[in-house]
Amino acid sequence: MISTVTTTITVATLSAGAMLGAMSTVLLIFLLASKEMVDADTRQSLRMLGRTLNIGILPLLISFALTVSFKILEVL
Amino acid sequence: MGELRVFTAYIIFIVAAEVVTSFLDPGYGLLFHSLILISLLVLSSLKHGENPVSRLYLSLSLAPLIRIISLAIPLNHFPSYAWYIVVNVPILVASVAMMRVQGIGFKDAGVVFRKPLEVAAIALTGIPFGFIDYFILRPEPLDIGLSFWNLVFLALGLGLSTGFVEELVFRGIMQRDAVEAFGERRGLIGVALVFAALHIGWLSILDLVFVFSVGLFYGFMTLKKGNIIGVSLSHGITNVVLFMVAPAVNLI
Repeated sequence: MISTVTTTITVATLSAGAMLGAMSTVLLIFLLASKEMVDADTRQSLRMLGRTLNIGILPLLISFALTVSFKILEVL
Repeated sequence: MGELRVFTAYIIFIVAAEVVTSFLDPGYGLLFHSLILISLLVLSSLKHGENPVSRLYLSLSLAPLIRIISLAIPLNHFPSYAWYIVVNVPILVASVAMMRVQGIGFKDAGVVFRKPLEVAAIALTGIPFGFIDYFILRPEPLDIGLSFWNLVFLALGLGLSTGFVEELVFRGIMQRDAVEAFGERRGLIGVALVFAALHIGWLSILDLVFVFSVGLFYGFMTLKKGNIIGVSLSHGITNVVLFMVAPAVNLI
């Protein structure tokens, strides 16, 4: 195993890569859908939630873009 | 008092999620961390009027997010020397997004270049920390068979990206909010516990005690000196010594 706080790589995580990528994509879709819904509301706490959801959405989008890019490269 | 209990409960949840990730199944761990992340973001928004605790719950969400990203990124497509930079870029992006939501800049988070001798003295603590950590963990060296430039890339990735990003998250953002919400002693201990919890993956009680102590030291230095540059360099040097220098020297 190779690990710092931000990087945990084990045999288990590498072999389960596709499943973990799919789960994080589901989380990304959930956060994006939630953002769409709360952005439509005018209440202050919901507007705040819309902004805070970006904190989860942005890094997950980068991860998703990397996963999709590698899948396309594999097909090519 | 009630908010302190909620903060303590979330530390326990993060510990539990790390135990699930490390001992049971990374998939269940990712699910557990996702639930913690969502609940922290919602709780922070609901507490919007009570600024210090709202900010703390928001910055605490970086802990589960770090694990989700580190598990989700397809690292097997990258060479091992690039892993640390690849994982830390999205976490840095999340940290900057967090700072924008909280309305703070890098200066507020302690990214201040001043008193170079003090910074150098704190940075040098990374050398003994790295060797002590090596004697506890005995990790495999990361640099076997790498070319010179790949070694430089690995050292930069370990030294700069892990050191700076992790200290920005834990001391620059999270500890700042925890101290504001619960005072210096509780804030410092709480964040050092979260920092140690994210090292459960090493499966070593001794390492957890060591990392908790180092977290307290880094937290104390950040509180007293008001900047994270020294502790970031120390953290980076610790990782370089742990994964590259100590295995090469192989003292025992």
